Amino acid sequence: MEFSIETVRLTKAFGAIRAVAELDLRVQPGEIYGLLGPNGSGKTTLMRLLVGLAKADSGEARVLGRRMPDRGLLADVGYMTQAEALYADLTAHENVLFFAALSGVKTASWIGEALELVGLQARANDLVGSLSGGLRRRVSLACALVHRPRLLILDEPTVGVDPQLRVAFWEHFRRLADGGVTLVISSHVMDEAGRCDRLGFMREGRLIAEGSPEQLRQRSGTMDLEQAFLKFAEADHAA
Amino acid sequence: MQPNRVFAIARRLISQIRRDHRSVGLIILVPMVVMGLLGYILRLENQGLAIGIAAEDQGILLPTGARISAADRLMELLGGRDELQVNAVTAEEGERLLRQGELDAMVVLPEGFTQAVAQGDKPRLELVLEGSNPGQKQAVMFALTGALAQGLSAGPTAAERPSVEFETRYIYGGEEYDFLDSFAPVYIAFFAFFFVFLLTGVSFLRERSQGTMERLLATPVGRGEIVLGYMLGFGLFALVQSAVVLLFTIYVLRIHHTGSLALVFLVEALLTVGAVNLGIFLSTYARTELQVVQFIPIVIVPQVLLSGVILPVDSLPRVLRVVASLMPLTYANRAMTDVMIRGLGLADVAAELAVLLGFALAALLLSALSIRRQFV
Ligand SMILES: Nc1ncnc2c1ncn2[C@@H]1O[C@H](COP(=O)(O)OP(=O)(O)O)[C@@H](O)[C@H]1O
Ligand SMILES: [Mg+2]
Repeated sequence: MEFSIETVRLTKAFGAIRAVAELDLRVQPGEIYGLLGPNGSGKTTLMRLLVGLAKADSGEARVLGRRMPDRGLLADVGYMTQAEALYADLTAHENVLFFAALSGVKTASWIGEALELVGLQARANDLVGSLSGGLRRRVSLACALVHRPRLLILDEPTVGVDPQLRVAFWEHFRRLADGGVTLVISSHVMDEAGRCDRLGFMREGRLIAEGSPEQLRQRSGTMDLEQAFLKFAEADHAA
Repeated sequence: MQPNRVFAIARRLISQIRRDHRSVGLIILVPMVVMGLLGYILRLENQGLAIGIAAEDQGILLPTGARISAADRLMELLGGRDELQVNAVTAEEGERLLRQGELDAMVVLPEGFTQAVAQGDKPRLELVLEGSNPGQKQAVMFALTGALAQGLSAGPTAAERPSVEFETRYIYGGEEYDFLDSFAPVYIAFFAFFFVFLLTGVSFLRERSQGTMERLLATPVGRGEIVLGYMLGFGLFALVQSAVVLLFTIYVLRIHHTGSLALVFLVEALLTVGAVNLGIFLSTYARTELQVVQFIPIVIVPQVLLSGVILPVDSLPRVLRVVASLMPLTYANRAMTDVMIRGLGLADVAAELAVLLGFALAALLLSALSIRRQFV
């Protein structure tokens, strides 16, 4: 069985800070994998390593069977950055169109469909600069999935998105996973993490616990994931 | 109104500026450098004007046995002026040197000139000008009339001074060419360079500050493609801009031009490629849009002063000519003037085009490398 993502002792330091420290991660095809951890725990750096935006100091990251960084592979990968990276002076539609073109989308209807998926058809021709934060997150998501990648790496996709739309996002993530797409989603909000197939708790660049939400709750003997994370973090700190 | 709040804000701004060493340096140094250069240049306007004197006149033999010649006297008087460089030439030689750009003007003293002066006639004097720079005509005429008034004042009274009639001829251009004609080609090149440089610098900076550069690099797009995309986008923009400026200057300002417009656009295209890449390269050294703007005094102003936009490069002193030879705009200006005013063809501006191509490729290399640098 080949993993969608497989990292071996992946390490990336910024000066004295090891943002990602000898991390071993394995994600299976069609899985929704949640990366949970407080700010600064290394989630974004890990994702940047996975898409080849950062170069590992040591260890390696294999994505869809190929060692990163590998630019040719990126047509099969969708990446949504934590801060929305959009052109404020273009419309929502133009932004999606632009990223679609860069990823080699040939079917014009995919652009409209991506906008529809995030519920933006009505605002498609509004300038991104005039949209609210939540709407911009949606444009950002549409840009990440417009080319229908096999692997989606989403950095805190639901921040600033209202609860109703958040539910719709997760339903869509599930549909994609059922269709064989692999998703890695980071969050520091624990309540939505329960929707992932598997979770990895991150602390100081390492995975301190891994498993399905149910397993993690059981192993920590707590009722919710927030409590579970704190338990694991305490144990890690003590160790 | 709370003074402490006002002071707090002022204090914060001052500490921000102080932390930005480059801004402080620029604010203090650049005005001095620019003012210095400008003062230096304006004072030495027209230095190194090369004049050839072709004497077809043998002079006259005085009863004392000495030979006097108006040509010798003119050489002596003009040669004494610092801003002029006077050479004795034959008429054919002078003509050739004018075409090659070695001479700016030639004075031809026809047969019997000294005789005519001595007899108090009104002798004719032929003035041949290179013609692409109207400023030269004024300078040459000024020097010449001064020298003539001084040198030929044989008689004791003003009434006895002979007046000389000038017959002016131009190698390139002509009487109808004015300052605007000679400056238009140069300004067209300058505007393209300036705006493309600024636009690219600012857009590329935005690309990084708004995070879209990171996002771009997470797609299959290559660095080379990004650079090319910028070159194409802004290159087209620059060509449209140049076309508009060109049409405006030709049809509204009614400047004179003789050369091929295709060649004009070729020069612009090469210059633009250089400007786009220089913009990309330098934008990696800027963190804010203001810092991009700060590159104008460094990159643009010296080129304006030295590349022929204000004064012909030939009239600059040696050191500044060397500096000018390192600037792409110098070559673009020369090529543009050659094409638009002198009506020269591809073969004649090939050297300038080659240098511009060299600049463009060097800038391309720098910009491609600078995008790689952002990869951590
Ligand atoms: N480009 C960078 N330069 C320096 N330090 C960085 C950089 N990116 C991340 N870090 C540091 O690495 C650590 C992990 O950050 P990050 O991956 O953004 O965590 P998270 O996404 O979980 O909040 C933090 O301490 C952060 O300050
Ligand atoms: Mg993060």
